[in-house]
Amino acid sequence: MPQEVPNDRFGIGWRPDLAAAILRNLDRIDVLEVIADDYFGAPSRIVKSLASLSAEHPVVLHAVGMGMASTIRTGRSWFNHMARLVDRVKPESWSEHLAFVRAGGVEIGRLAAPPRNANSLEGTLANLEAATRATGMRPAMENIATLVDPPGSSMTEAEWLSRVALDSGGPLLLDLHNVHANAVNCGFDAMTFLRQVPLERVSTIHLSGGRWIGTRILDDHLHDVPDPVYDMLRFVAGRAPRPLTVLLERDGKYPPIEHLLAQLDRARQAVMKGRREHAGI
Amino acid sequence: MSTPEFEAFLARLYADPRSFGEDLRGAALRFGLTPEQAEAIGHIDREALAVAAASFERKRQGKRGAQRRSIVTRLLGH
Amino acid sequence: MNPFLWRGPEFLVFYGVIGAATLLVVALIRRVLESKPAGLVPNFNDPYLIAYLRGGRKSAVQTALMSLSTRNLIQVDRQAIRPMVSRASAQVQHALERELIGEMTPQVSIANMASLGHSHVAQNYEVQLQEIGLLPNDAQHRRRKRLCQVAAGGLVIIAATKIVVALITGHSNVMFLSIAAAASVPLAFAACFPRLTTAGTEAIRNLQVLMGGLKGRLSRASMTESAAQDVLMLAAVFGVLAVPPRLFPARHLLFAKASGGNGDAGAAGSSCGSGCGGSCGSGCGGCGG
Repeated sequence: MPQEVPNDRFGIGWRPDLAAAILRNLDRIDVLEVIADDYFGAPSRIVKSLASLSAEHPVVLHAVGMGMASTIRTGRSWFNHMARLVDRVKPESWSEHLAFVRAGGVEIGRLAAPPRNANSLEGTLANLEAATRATGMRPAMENIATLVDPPGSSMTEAEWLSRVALDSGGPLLLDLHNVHANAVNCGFDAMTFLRQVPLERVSTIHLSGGRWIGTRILDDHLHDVPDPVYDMLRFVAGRAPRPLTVLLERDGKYPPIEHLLAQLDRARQAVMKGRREHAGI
Repeated sequence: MSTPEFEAFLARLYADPRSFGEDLRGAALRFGLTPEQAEAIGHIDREALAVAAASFERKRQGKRGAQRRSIVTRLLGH
Repeated sequence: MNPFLWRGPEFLVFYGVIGAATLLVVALIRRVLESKPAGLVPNFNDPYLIAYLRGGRKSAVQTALMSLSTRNLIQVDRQAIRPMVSRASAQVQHALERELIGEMTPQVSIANMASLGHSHVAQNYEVQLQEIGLLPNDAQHRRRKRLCQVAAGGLVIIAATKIVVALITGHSNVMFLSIAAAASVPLAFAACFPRLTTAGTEAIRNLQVLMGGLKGRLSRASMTESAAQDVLMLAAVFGVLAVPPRLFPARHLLFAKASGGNGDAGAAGSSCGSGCGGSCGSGCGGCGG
C-alpha cells in the first residue's frame, strides 16, 4: 500500500509578544518556529515551558548565533547548547543560517554573508558535520540576505548554496525574501536563481518582509510579505517535494494576529496553486 | 581566498567601516591580508557597506538594550 | 540509641527532622503519582477554563467580570453591577458570561459578588480539569487521604509515644511537643491536599512563563479588539490585578479589597514568568547586512 505523503504545513515564528494570540489560534498554525538562542542557558523553568509547548504542538528550533558559514570552526559550546535544548524540547528539527557572525574577536551583530569560495565551503561543511554529530540531527541551512556582495567570492550564491546542500546531504531552508532582497541588491534574477538551486533539497521555506533603503532592500522582518515572494513560493512549491514547511517570520511592529494569519492563508493558496500547476491540474 | 584572517578583517570592516578610511586595499594589506585578498576588499561596494554597517550597529544596539532590559527585569523580580 | 529516651530538647529536634522528612516524602510521592508528561492547559479559546484552573470558581468569575466590564456589557459603580445586555445578546459569547449576566440581572451589589457563579459552568470546569489530570479526581483524593492519614497519624503516634514515656519517667513539660504534634496534622494536610495536581501546577506555571511578555506589552497598548483578547488571557493566566488599570477602569470598583501583588483580587498572587532567558523575543531580526 503506497504511503500517504504528509501535507505541506504552514506556521509562524514564536514570539513572546504574540504568545497569547498564537495560542488562541493554534488550530490555524501547523507548526511553531522558536529561536533557539533565546533558550541557551535559560533557567530550567523557561526551557520546561518550551518543552510543554513542544509536547502539545509541533515545534522546530531556529538558531541564529552559530556562524557556521566560515573557515573558522564554530565554538563547541554553541553545539552543546543546541544539543541540550534538543534533548529537553524534542523539536521536530532545527535550522541555522549560512552566515558568519564573528571573527577575530569581533561580533558583527548581524548575520553577514560569507565570501563564497572553496575555503568557506569546506569550513561550512565541517561545521555542519560537527553540529550534526553534537545534536544528533542534521540542521536545515538557510540562505541569508545581504546588502554587500561579499568580497573574495569565486562562486555565485546559487552555486555556493547548491554545493552546501549537495555536499552536506542536508536539507535547505530557503528564505524567499532573502532571495528577493539579494536579487535586488546584487543584481540577479530571482527566478533564475531558483532554477539553479536544488529545490528537491528544500524542506522549509521562510517568508518575511523588509523595507527599501534607497535602491536596496533591507530584510528586517518588520513588514508584510511582498507580492514577488508569494510568486516565488508558488514557483518553488511546484518543484519542491512534499511536505514543505512554510514559516512566516515577523520580529516586530506586530499587526493583529488576523493580519499575520491572512498572510499564512495566502501562502497556503500559493503552495496549492504551485502544486496543481506542476501536476498539470 | 577565505581564511580566518580574511574573515577577521571583514568582521572589523562590517562593524566600523569609517575607521578604515578611503583606502580599504591599503588597510587590508596593513592588516596582513594577501595582495589577492586586499584586492578583493578594495572592490567592495562602499555605499552598500555603509548601509550594511549602519544596519549591523542598530542590531548590536538593539541586542545591548534587550540584554540591559533583561537584567533589569530579573533584578526587579518580574 | 532510643530516641524516645532522649531529653526533651533533643527529641524536639529529632521530631522536627522526622516531621520535615515525612512531609517531603509525602510531597514527592504525591508529585510522582500526580504528574503526567509536561503539557499546557488545553483549549486556549476558553480563558475561563484557564482562570478556573489557576484559582477556582472565584478566579473564573473575576476574569469574566473583568471581560464584561471592559466590553461595556456591565455597568459598575460603587454599589452595584448592572448588566447592559440580556444573556441572550450576541455580544455575550461564553456560557459563563451568560450565566453571570442572568444572575446579575437586574443588578447585584458589589458586596454580594461572591455569590456569583456557583453554576454548572464552573462545575463542568471542575469535571473537565479532573478528567485531564490537572485537578485531583476522586481516586486521587482517596489516595491523598490515605497518604495524609499515614503521615499525620505516624507523626502523632511518635509524639504521643514520647509524651507517654516522658510522663512515665516523671517529666511533665510536654507542652512544646504537644504543640508540634498538633501542628503536624495541618502541615500534613497542606502537603497532601494542594488544590491542583502536580500536572496542574506545572501547566499553569508553563503558561505563565510562555505568556510572560504579555503584561509588559499590554502596559503600552491601547484597547483594540485584539488587545481585548490578550487582556482576557492576561487576566486568566495571571489574575485580574495583572491587568493595567488603564485597560480596566472599573478595577478599583470591582476589586477594591485588592492584594498588593499580582493575581486575583483578595487572593495570594501568582508568579509572572519572564518569557524566556537572555535577550529574548527578538527573532532572528532578518539579515540584510
